Amino acid sequence: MSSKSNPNLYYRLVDLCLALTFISLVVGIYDYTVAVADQSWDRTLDNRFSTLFTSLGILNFILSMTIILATSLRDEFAEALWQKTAGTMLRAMAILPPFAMIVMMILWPLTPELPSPLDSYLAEDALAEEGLKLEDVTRFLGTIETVGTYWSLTMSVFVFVFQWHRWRARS
Amino acid sequence: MAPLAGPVMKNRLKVLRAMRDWSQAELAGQLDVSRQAVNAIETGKHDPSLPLAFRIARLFDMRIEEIFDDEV
Repeated sequence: MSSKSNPNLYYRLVDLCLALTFISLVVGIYDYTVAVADQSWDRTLDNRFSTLFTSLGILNFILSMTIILATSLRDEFAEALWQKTAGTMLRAMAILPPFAMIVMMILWPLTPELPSPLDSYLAEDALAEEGLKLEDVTRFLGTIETVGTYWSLTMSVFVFVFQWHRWRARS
Repeated sequence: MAPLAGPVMKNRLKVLRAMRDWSQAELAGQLDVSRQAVNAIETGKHDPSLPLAFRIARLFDMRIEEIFDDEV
């Protein structure tokens, strides 16, 4: 194991990342709840807390990626936790998606009908002039949005599972 | 809680550290690892790598088998 300038730095980054995730979750849940309550989906996060939420998101994204990729920051115990976390994530990826789909199918009828946020800035007439269909553009942008969402979500979940293993090792 | 990976060796690290009146953070600093790593080794949640086991043995001026017991 190579010499570490500060072996505790990695754990401080994990602590900071989790704190930011918690704050982002609180802001996001509050904003979504307000949007559902007053049917103002187009106002969510575009207008309220947008600077805070974007800043937190970018910082959290960079921190999560650093935690996952920065091998040189990990001492051997952090490396063992990282490997255990990776194993947990792989097992979860194999098992959880069918359960998630079943839960989504059950909850779908209960979800309030909100317009897609993508539709709000896609003018159908303007797209038609360019020979594009709203449905195709929405599907394309939706795919990018979904990949981006799962990208950042997966990294955040990794940090959370890492912390869970860390807590278990401490107790 | 189960160890991070498989059965873990018993060790005398906590006793040896206490005999020198070192904190976990002080020992961690001398071994160039985090305090969490020292805690995990002492509590049997993590087996040190061979290089770290050698560093521990050298620090306490003992042989590895005098500190670690592989009979789990």
